[in-house]
Amino acid sequence: MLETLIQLLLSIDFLVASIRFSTPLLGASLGEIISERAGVVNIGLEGMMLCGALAGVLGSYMTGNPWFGLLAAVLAGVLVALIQAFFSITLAVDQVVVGMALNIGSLGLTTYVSRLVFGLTERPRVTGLAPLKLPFLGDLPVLGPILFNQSAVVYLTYLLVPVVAFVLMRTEWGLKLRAVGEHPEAAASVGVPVARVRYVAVLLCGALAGMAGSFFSLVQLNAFVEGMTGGRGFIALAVVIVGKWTPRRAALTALLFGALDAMALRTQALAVDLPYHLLLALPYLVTLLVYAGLVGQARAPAALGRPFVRD
Amino acid sequence: MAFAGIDPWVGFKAIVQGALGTPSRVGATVTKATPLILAGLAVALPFRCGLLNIGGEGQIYIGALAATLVALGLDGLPWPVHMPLVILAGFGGGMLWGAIPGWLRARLKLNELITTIMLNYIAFWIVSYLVHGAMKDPQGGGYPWSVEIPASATLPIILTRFRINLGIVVASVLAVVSHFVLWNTCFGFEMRAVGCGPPAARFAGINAERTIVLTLALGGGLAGLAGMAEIMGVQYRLSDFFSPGYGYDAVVVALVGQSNPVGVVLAGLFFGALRNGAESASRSIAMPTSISLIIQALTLLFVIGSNSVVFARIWRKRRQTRARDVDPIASIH
Repeated sequence: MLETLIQLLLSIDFLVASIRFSTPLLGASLGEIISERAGVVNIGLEGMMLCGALAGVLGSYMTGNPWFGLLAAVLAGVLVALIQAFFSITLAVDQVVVGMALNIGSLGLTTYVSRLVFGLTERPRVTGLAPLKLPFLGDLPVLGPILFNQSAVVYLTYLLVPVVAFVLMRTEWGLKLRAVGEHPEAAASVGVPVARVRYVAVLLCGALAGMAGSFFSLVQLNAFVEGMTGGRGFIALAVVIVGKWTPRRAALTALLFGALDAMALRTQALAVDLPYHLLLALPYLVTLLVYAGLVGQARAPAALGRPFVRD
Repeated sequence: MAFAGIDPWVGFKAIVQGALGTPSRVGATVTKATPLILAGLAVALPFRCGLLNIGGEGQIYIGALAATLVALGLDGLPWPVHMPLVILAGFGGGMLWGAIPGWLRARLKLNELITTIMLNYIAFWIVSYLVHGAMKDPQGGGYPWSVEIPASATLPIILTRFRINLGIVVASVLAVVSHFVLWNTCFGFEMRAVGCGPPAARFAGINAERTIVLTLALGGGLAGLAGMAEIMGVQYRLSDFFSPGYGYDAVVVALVGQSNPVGVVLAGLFFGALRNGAESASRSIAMPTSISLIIQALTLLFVIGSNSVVFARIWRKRRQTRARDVDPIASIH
């Protein structure tokens, strides 16, 4: 049994799946990093991803073009983020509570809309974003199929890692954003428009979360299933903390969790004599353990979760 | 509703009728409210202590598991002995699942949001594993659920006409106890003090770490009772999908109830009615039940929005300007 397991872990299939499953976690956590660096906790990640997943299917279903699906997913994420931004920035209420409301509302709304459009029994398959084999690179042995024969969303997400890192750490806007997240009063006193910076950060987070959500419905399944994000938005929140609010570490963490996801699913398909229900709990358990193991190392932005009201 | 081609007024009427139309429907509303009240208290008490317990769902599952184990394992005891033991087990199971994030928060400073959510999934898969395996009823027709619990472990029906079981009494008593603990005991004061800020509480000689662990453990215990009440009073078997997200609804119940035990009871009844009404409206006029989730979210947004400090400030300013406008006229006379 151990042999099958090792074989599984070294198989190209498994490595491809690990990278694939890490994508939605990474996409959403990149968004969350931007938002949290600006001082806004966005627990509504799960809801934004779910809305993105549905919008992706709807967009692809109506136009027949999965790229419009992706666009719709991004827009849906931004729309949900707009509610989060209005409540947590303009009205200055508890950010976590708003996020909870958005998660509950999104679950209801997506279920409702998908039944309205597709009915109770039908679950039409739509055109998804098929794997895109890159020229030359895709033909490399071993690395080719693992790294360069993935869906466009996967490339896009991983390309965003250095982009987000650069914008946050090397541009003036990134500096302002971090200032707003560390000490909004100080930032405001030197003329940084705190509310505007936070709005942009939260909306960007929504866009990325929406895109991450479309992964489930346009890359993995090519259909919408109620509650299909299955708590990945919450794992993405953990990825941000374990990744210490930096895009590169977040990418590594997302890869680890993606591998756990892939392992749970693969062993289930292999029908090895393993308690598969417990294996499905593994990603969450490991998240908890890794989080506990990082004690005292990670430091959140100082003004995280604290609303800023101008006098 | 209007989008679905259902007249909103008809839909609204169907929900109200479904929730309160007949005695048995009132009973169903109260029965649905029971776990919401208990799990709502499980969020409300820690919230007073500055902790957001999103772990209700996991605590419900572990509480239900512990209660079921005692119910099935100690079969043969008379009801007056067996039932209290089952209740204690439910409380204990939930307490354990609440104490873990409490300890992680107090000792390791881990954010309870993340830990409780992870523990929710872990609890769910543990129960799922057991009801698919070791605890599965061999005569269950292949369904993943446990053997039916013996009568000596059930929460009996107390009002036959309404089909209301003892669970609501347990919930109401605990709401009163929570109120008392929160406002009339040392521990309640310590909880609220820590909620205002652990450093200040520590300065006042309060052991903040101990208070945090105890509060989350107590909250967990209350949520565990919600799971116990659902199995022993309604479903009589442990399965892996017995809770339709009560632990998450509980966050809404607690916040709409302003984290006040009495408010939680009222909010629990309201959302119990909403859930029950939406379910029966889905049968009578084919309205999707998910509408109740949307209404829940909107209610929560409305409540927290209207409590916003920004509004308070705008009102105050408006009153001040009005006072200023009035003043000159007054000075003329």
